[in-house]
Amino acid sequence: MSEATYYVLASLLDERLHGYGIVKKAALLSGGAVKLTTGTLYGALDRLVGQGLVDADGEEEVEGRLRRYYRISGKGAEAVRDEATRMRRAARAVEPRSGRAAIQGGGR
Amino acid sequence: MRLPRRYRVALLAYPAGYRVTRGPELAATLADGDDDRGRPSMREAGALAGRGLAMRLGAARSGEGLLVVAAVLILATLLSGFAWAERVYLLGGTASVWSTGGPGFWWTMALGVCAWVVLAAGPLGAAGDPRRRRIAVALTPPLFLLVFSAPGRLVIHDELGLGSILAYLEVVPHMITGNGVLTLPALTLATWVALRGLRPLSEAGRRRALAAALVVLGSIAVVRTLIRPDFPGGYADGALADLRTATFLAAAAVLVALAALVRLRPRRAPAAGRGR
Repeated sequence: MSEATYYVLASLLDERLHGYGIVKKAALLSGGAVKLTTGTLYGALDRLVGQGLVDADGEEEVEGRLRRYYRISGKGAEAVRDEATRMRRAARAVEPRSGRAAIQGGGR
Repeated sequence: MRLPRRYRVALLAYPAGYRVTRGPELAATLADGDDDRGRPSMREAGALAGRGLAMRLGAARSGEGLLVVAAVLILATLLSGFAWAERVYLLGGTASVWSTGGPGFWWTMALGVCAWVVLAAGPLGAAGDPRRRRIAVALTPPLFLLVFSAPGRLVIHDELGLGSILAYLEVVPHMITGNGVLTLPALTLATWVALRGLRPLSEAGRRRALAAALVVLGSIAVVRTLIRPDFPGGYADGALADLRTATFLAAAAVLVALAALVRLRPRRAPAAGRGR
């Protein structure tokens, strides 16, 4: 799962959002590290909708701008939580206390 | 809903069908972002161009990039075969319109470039909507005829139009025999590559296998014309060999780069934990 995909799913966990709503939420969640471009966002959304991880959920027109909303599916929520678990495990491998330091200490 | 011109231009790289169905939504998201930043973003424009191009090239359907490479190689063989036939049969074996000083030179170059574009348009069109695909397929045969007929006749008889197209038919058999057994399958495969846009093959594996076979065949053909100076009309033949080879390589490089874009983009950043 790419970083963009991960943050698109993560931003939809709490609420349904439209395109730019996802961009802002992803930036917020990642502390500004993930700046989704429109091209990347819709590439990810098209794929996620195709895979059934995200569903389109209504649309409205605001000041002449078409806003289509998206919400995460049960399958999508499961996928992003699995990914989070995997990354937590990966992080543990390099974090000083729990993993590597202990192993290195033990080796000496 | 009529989109502001700036956003219509920004979305031009996307296939027309996608622009119609998704354009308004993408434009709205772009506009929201521009409002926040207070200015249009070059980064956004670049990402849209890359994404749209990748979609056109059929990013989701692997094997398309290979088809572009195959098309380049096949065209290279055809040009080589034509150069030989044109010299022997149209100009009496004395000169070639490929000569830099020849009056038909720029015509040939310009039409050659058209041929590159149209041949690439077969696979490119396949990723677009059906209307685009039909146009690409319909344009391919006439442009082929134009490319291979007009320059030679232009020099000799100042003929254009139907006459030059009919004259092309005289050359075809010589072209086929001239470049040995390779030109005939190359011609057949070139037609197939152009036409396959009409009805994309359903099974990805079969498509990949065919594309790979085309690349192998094209490679053999090109290498053969590249390394044998005595090969009539080949890339190593004559004073213009360098320029012809350079043109081919440059065009090939561009198309291979486009093909690489297709292969790489969807597979970028495989792990979420890797980025910062």
